[in-house]
Amino acid sequence: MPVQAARSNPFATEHLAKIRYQFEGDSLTGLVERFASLHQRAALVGPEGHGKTTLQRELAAQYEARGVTVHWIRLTRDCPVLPRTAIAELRRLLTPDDLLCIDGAEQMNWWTWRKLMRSLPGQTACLITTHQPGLLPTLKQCQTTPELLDRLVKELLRAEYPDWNVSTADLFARHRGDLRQCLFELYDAYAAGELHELHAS
Amino acid sequence: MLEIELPRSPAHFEPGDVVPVDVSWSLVDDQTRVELRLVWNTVGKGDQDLSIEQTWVYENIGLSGEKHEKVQLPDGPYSCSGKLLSLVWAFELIVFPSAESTRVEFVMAPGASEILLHSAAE
Repeated sequence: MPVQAARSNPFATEHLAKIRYQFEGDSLTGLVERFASLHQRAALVGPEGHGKTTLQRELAAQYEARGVTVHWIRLTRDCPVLPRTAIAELRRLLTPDDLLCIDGAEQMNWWTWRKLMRSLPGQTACLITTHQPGLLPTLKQCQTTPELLDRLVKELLRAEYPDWNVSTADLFARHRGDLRQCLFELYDAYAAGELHELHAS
Repeated sequence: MLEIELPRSPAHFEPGDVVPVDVSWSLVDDQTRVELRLVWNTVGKGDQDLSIEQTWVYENIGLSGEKHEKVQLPDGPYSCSGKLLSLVWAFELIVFPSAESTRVEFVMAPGASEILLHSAAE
């Protein structure tokens, strides 16, 4: 079987990274206003693969465009611990006009979280993503739908396979709405030359 | 408008080749500088790696201009592709501060041909 080169895979990370957050029933402007009403400290909440990080990047870009300096902390299951010097470094760097984005805040233990929050200058904005509500007021509960997955897949296939109609309903159910896992599975299907099996004529 | 021109199409080279690269720009607004970068990056399912191998910086650029470089390609890494990962070489032309950019990819490997990676079972 010929190699389905990673560089031609429409579900490669470089393409996924270009996907913009798809607003449904709300807008970027509306979220920015709501963030301000929450004194600019709030959480994007939802399970994995539900668009929290994509939305966080979108909001951060909006603030950067206004001249706000954005600082990032990214925590994952593989890398769940803040570097030892991170809080001291943040205390040195952050100003009241800055925005601190923490992706994966649920990875922090309660003591680290408390220490971090106490180290922030009073007016510094803070936008986190987390799986469960409770750390900060919820700015948005992120959700996905089969229709959203369908739209994203069409968008990713548009350039090379505009006439393909990949069936995604089973995929969405199997991964319980985790779009990242759905798109990873489509990557594997393409790499194995099996995407045509999902290609409903 | 930004353009990068390479001498061959398709652009396939051997490691160590000297490649003439023509770049030009035609801008709407004043910008401070243009950078030509020789880069490689990975494409695939996981995190992306990116390496900037060499950079040429053009200051006081005006609204339009062109430059010619003779670029000696490095010894590696080679362009390669498998199911999980591709390694792609490219020239990128980036305008600052607008960050407008263009990119031309090329193959660099022995025999001027991309190395295809197969699984051990194949």
